[in-house]
Amino acid sequence: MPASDYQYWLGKEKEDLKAISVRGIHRRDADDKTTGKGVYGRDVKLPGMLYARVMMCPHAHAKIKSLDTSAAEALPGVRAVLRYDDPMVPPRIIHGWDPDVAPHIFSPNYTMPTYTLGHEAFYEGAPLGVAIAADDLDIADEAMDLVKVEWEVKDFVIDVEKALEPGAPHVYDYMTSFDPNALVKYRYASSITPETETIEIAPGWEGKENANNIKKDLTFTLAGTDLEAGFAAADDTIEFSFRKAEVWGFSPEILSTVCRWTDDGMLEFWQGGEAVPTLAIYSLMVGIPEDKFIPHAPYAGGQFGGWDFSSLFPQACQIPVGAFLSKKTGMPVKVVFQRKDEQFAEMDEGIHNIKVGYKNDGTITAIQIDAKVAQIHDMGMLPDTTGGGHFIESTSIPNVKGRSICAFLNKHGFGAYRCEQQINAQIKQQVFTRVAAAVGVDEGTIALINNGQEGHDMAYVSEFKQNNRVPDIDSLGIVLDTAKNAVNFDQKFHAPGEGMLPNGKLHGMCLCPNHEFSNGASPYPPEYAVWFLHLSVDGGKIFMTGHRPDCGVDGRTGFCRIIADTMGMKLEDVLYSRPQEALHSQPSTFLNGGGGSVTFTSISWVVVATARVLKNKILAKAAAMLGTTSEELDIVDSHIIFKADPSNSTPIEALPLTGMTAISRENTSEMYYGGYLNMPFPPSPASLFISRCVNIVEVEVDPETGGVEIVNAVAANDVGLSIGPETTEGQMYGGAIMGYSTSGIEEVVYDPPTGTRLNPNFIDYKILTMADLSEVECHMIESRMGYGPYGSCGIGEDNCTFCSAMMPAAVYNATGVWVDYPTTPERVLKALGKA
Amino acid sequence: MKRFLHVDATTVEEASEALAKGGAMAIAGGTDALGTLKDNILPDYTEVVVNLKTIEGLSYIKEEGGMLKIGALTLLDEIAHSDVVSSKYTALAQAASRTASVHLREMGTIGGNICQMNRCWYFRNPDNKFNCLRKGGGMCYAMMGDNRFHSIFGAVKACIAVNPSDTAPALVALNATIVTNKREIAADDFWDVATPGSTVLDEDEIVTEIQIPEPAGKSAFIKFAIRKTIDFPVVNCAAMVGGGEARICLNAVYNLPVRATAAEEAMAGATIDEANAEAAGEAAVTGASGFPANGSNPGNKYKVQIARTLVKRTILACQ
Repeated sequence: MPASDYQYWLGKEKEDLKAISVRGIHRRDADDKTTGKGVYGRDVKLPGMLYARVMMCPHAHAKIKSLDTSAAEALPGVRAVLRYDDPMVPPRIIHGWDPDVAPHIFSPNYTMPTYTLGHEAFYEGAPLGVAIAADDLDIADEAMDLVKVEWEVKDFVIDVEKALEPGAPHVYDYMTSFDPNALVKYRYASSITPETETIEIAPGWEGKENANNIKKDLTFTLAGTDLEAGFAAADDTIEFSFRKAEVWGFSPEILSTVCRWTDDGMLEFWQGGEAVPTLAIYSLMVGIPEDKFIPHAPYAGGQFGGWDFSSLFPQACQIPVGAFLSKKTGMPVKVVFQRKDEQFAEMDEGIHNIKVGYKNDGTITAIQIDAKVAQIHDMGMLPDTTGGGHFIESTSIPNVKGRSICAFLNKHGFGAYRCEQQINAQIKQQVFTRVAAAVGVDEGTIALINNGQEGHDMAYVSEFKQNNRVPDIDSLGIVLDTAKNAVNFDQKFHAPGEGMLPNGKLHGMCLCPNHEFSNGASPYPPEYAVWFLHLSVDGGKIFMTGHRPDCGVDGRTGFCRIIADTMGMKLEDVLYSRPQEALHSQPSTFLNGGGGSVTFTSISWVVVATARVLKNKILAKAAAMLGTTSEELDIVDSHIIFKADPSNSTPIEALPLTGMTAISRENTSEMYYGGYLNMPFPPSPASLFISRCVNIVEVEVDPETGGVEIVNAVAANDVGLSIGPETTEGQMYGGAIMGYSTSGIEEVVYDPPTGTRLNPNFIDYKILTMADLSEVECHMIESRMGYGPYGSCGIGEDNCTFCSAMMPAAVYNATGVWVDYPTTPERVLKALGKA
Repeated sequence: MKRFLHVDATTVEEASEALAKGGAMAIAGGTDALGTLKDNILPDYTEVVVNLKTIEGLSYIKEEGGMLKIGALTLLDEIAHSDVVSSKYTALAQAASRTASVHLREMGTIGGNICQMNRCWYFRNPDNKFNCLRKGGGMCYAMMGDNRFHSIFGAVKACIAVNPSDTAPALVALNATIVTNKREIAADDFWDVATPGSTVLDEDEIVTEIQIPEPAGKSAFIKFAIRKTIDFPVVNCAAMVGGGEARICLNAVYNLPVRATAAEEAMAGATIDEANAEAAGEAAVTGASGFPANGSNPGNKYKVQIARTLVKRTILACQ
């Protein structure tokens, strides 16, 4: 391919980029975060501030029959008691994102119902009943203990399969009419391309009672699928099932909110979430218009994904509770949760039954998936919920069909807190490893044999790339070689159960081949990649105003890099303005200003577009002042130069440009599909899944204790092009550790008789530490095939997701037996017949 | 937390008097006590917290009179890094070095580690959600619930919580004596199932010193936990084998540290080798059964296998 074809992105070679893909650039938040100067949500303290606790339901399903708060009200130091029956509290249930808020994305049945502050709870630990504001938290805790409640305790169900049995306790018993497929019908009516994928809604549910707790029952089929023919074409089939335990979606900083009313009736609040809260939800909860909120965004002490408080349940209640208590007292109120109060979990708990047909050379001919999973919130990702998505996105497997039944449970909210794609990765890993073992090869070989997209082989993908000016690089081959060479894989790999080590342990390896799945830049309706951004110039500096994202992808520095490069400014001349002010609410939580998933990449197009606008304005004004045309000028190193004579330059700061601005809240989906790829909008999903990744983990299993030790981990990711290399490596590294933690040890445990969580703390809920996995060897491959600026693509979710699939496969390679997720000692020993 | 009176004791006597008034708890490093207060796990909240760290003279490690003496307020980190403990009382140094995490070892004391309350996620569930037997309630919820980390040797007073201390089995294996302001107690007799405590100490009794005779043979400690740091043990084991003597103790498998007497008898005077150690491991779990899997509860029979293995490996480590 001629070199010029690699210049599809803005005509720039990598070596021409000054602020992009360069190491050693100081993170803009580094000083704050390493010196203690940074203000996090928990740090916020206002003069006269009160502290509040919210009651959490001790039962898995219960209603308050009577509530006596008199003793709490009488306790010295208590300033206000907010009861569920206070006229101030709206008597309504909010079903997650309300249809009035974002009707094109969400539905009334989007997720579990959440009272603003109600009298009924559908899971243990749900906020309800009463909130208390006091001089300090100790008094608030003491007062809460004085509240007397008479409960009506109801039947509950916390097991997916039991919830789906006839006669199971009714989780949401107030719902008499419920259409479990309403959302999906709406969502897919506008986003699925019938040529490649079809959705079937199980008949018989519409308009019926919410029997058996079924939230949805859907079948997903790759276009052209003929399972019967696919299995007939196979030399053999494998049928298996596996279970996945519930995983916690915690945030290291326990969540809190400070609320204060201004004299003119505005509700000012401080929340340390990663993303701009969806004020429309808070508007419904508090009962004031969106423009009456003044949000502030202190740093976030860690959180998965780009979620904001308004999307987290029960955390969303902090705003109305804080607002009403502040209204009652006339003082600022800080609502503080405890670790046990944080309740949200990953969405893939359940059981998965799979049948795969394959040929003796490793070619997979058909896959059938039947899943029963815990309630999930539907982001329209049906293929993900059936687990077939990653076969469609990065393989040539021609026949893929999955059915997913999602059950409501008396458990807290389930969501994509640690990536909804995990179940896709897990099923793909299980299939690849099993087929590889059956035909005597490794998973990388299976990936190469079946490499492709939407049932087509790589010729289809190559044709797509060539037709769309994307470099036609063998991404899988490169990442596979890179990862394998890093661990000497081909010399170490062995058949399952044949890796006995001199120390008596069993050596195991798992190779996970997958792709960058880019859901944050998907071809869904155009709310994606929409972001409010304001650029201005003053004194030779460019000031960027927008929500300051605060998560690992380091959008604050990354966006400044892109602006500097786009405009020709020195990086030090591009600054974030007023970073602690969340200036604007987004229409949905995905639009989180460079937060989680791949939104940094997709939103970067907004940054590019806006920077171009401002640059053109500056050049036009400069041209007028210098008596030339803007076409004759350019900006280089923060100077206006004449293209014909770069030595003839004028510093930007010397020009009277103050007040010049560019504002963008435009839809960039069309921009990058139409302008970048020169393809119709919405495009084929093919554009999104062409970068490949490989993770390899090496373990030693102690057959006498069931202990599984990770001894080596390698990640090789085709990142397209890294905007900030150290940050990209951080995402790869941290994601891998969190993924191995998910598949290796994490599990929320409930008491079956009461539905109470038994490990709502970080002593009993285990997360891998750096002592358990001290190093992940990271290799970035830069193919420039990504869908983002400079040919970049997302990285935030990848390794976290892929590694969440790998530990059972590694243990299988070591022991020759399969265990479910997570691979804890009791599961390993039981599989080995020793427990 | 709720409010309580905090008393900085300057002498053992002063601390004892404060504790004798009732409704009080002692605090040293605070790594266990603060957690119980923050999580509000007990039915009656502590009214007075008596700080022992302000008592001078209780932090030391010295050999004296043919024995090792460790002050009750000595930090676990100091014990882990003590040359004399590592060289001659190895099991204790190894146990201290495997307790919790670096930061917690720099706060936690040996006295606190042996006095910590037993672990059970029902007993310690926040806000006293399960008013179990250890709290004076009517039932053991773990018995019918999820008991994957609980006792494999049955119940004591119908409770199946486990003693989680890492240093406790080392002290038993090393035949230590616990000195208090009232008496001297053999480590073998120090732990008991109280409500809600885990020792035989009176309400106003305070550990002041640990005494360990010079061991006849080598000693070792091995811990099995889910993670390499922070975690409480799934099972741990300490052994001292040599000089015709064997003392072997398991912990986290029962309400109390468990002397593996059958294993000791098997190893007394025996050669330390794979076969003998394996036989001792098998003997150690005689009588252990554990709970079977039941629905989402995997049970804890796997702990029997781990205990068997740890006894064998700990004995071999005494070579």
